[in-house]
Amino acid sequence: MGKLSIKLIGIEFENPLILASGINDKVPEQWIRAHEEGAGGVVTKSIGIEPREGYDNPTIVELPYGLINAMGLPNPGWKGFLEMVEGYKFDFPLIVSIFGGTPEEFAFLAEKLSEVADAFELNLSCPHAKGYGMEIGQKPENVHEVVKAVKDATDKPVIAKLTPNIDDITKLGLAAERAGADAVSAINTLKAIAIDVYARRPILSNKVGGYSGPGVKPVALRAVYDLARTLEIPVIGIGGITTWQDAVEFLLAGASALQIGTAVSLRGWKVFREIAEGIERYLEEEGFSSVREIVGLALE
Amino acid sequence: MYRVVEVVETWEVAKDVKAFRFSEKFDFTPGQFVMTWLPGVGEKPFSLAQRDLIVVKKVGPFTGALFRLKEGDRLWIRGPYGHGFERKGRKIALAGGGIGIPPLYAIATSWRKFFESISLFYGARSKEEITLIDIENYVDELILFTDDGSAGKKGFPTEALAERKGEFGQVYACGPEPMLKAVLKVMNHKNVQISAERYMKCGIGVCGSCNLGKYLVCRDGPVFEGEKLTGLL
Ligand SMILES: Cc1cc2nc3c(=O)[nH]c(=O)nc-3n(C[C@H](O)[C@H](O)[C@H](O)COP(=O)(O)OP(=O)(O)OC[C@H]3O[C@@H](n4cnc5c(N)ncnc54)[C@H](O)[C@@H]3O)c2cc1C
Ligand SMILES: Cc1cc2nc3c(=O)[nH]c(=O)nc-3n(C[C@H](O)[C@H](O)[C@H](O)COP(=O)(O)O)c2cc1C
Ligand code: FES
Repeated sequence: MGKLSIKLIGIEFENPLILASGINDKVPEQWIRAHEEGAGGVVTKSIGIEPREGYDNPTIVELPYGLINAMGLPNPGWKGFLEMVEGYKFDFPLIVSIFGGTPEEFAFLAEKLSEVADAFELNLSCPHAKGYGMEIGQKPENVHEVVKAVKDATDKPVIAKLTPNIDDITKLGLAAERAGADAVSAINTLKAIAIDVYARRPILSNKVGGYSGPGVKPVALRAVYDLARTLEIPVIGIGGITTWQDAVEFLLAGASALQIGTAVSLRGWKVFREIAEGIERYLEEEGFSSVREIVGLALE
Repeated sequence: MYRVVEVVETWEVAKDVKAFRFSEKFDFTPGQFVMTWLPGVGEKPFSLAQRDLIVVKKVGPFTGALFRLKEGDRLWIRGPYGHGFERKGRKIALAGGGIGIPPLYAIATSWRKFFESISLFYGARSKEEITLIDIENYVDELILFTDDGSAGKKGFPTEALAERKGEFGQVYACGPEPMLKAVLKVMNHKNVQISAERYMKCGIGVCGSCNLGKYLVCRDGPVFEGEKLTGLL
């Protein structure tokens, strides 16, 4: 195994930098591109039961330290998804993100998509879709039920993606762990709003959305730190990772792998190589032989 | 973030096509676009025709609302975004069709002095749909076609381009996709840059809705070197 390679939930990744769900990952060509550009794995856009168009524009607001988005979970539905991937083979781990309104819907999707997915990530955390995501995932008992239902429906590893929009994210993490989740990932976006002072109204057509990017990093890092201290299962760190220093901070805080989202827009696809090279240099300079050695060092 | 601008001038360019000049000038490269928000209506992409000018064809609800704006009304603009044209060639050709003129207008008006000559091959469905703005004042030659022969020659501009392509160091094209495909074919994907369109939402390379093969039109494009599009267009 190379310096940057990791084994997580039974899957080998060339490096710990995974493309986050919802970031330029609608079609197979984009997943392949992400891998070509240096991502160690890919999480797909969240897939639901029915096709959805998503919300009307404006769907994003650019801020000095990140973005607020309310895309509205546009996706082709599970049938469209299966048609779309037919004939493709991927030489990197493909994690399929799914969302549903009930444990049964999640389980149904996992069953239907098990052939395609190397693992599932459960979107229990999108802050702007009525009846989905965070509206379900803010309650530990719901997280437990959904994870359990999905674990019963598939043999593939299951990652519960958690929302930071709660008093104590470890309650959600523990619920996922007890239900048999193979890992948790955190964070999804922080519920947020932006108002235009001249239009005197919220900018997003959906009014509220989710905040991501450099501005959320300290909050995300704290969530990962708390989860890693509390859980036995691995934690995948997400939220504002833009530089190699950010990435190393998350690893030290106990993240076994990382996902990168908004930084792909801020820095371009080259962000994967930039961060990988930075981590490698750091390992060399600090006398570590593998990225696996630094996971959780700041927890002690 | 948005820059709030005022419409300072608007005029009719062709049937269902209007130009909007606004109160602020944006630094841009020809081929780049802006996202334009009308609160309560929507937000859509438009190419900059000049630092302070967009030229719009009315095709639906958003462009319909834009057409009702009067001088002094506000527009919310973010951008410019995307990869624009690269300045190449001494003797160049512009190939345009229909409402594809705005980015070519940007080339002709902002880069005129860098080229030895500019030849414009332009096609429209009929006389009343010719959307040249006043680009004829900035090009050395205009070769005009209409599908029905109501103005210029009857036929397609790509036919004339095919006969003369050897004269040009670079061809810059924008227009309906069948025309772009024809231009790429004529040029064998070489010495040509085209401005493509796909459905855009974020405009900043994060949502993935504007994909053209593995590319993001809002980020890798909208302008692409012909060679990059081999097998895609
Ligand atoms: C990079 C780029 C530059 C453009 N430049 C110009 C320009 O200079 N002048 C001009 O008149 N038009 C331009 N367009 C097209 C313009 O964005 C659409 O005409 C406009 O969005 C239509 O909105 P609507 O609500 O009036 O019509 P709708 O009824 O919503 O749509 C009519 C048609 O417009 C296109 N369209 C709609 N929404 C979008 C979108 N978000 N992104 C891309 N295409 C869309 C689709 O083909 C659709 O079928 C450009 C598009 C792109 C992608
Ligand atoms: C435009 C956009 C779309 C997103 N779509 C999804 C989605 O479909 N499912 C999901 O679980 N998370 C989605 N997210 C959240 C990201 O996966 C990630 O958790 C969050 O943006 C924080 O990471 P970042 O700061 O690196 O972007 C989306 C984020 C953005 C910016
Ligand atoms: S419009 Fe969102 S990635 Fe291009």
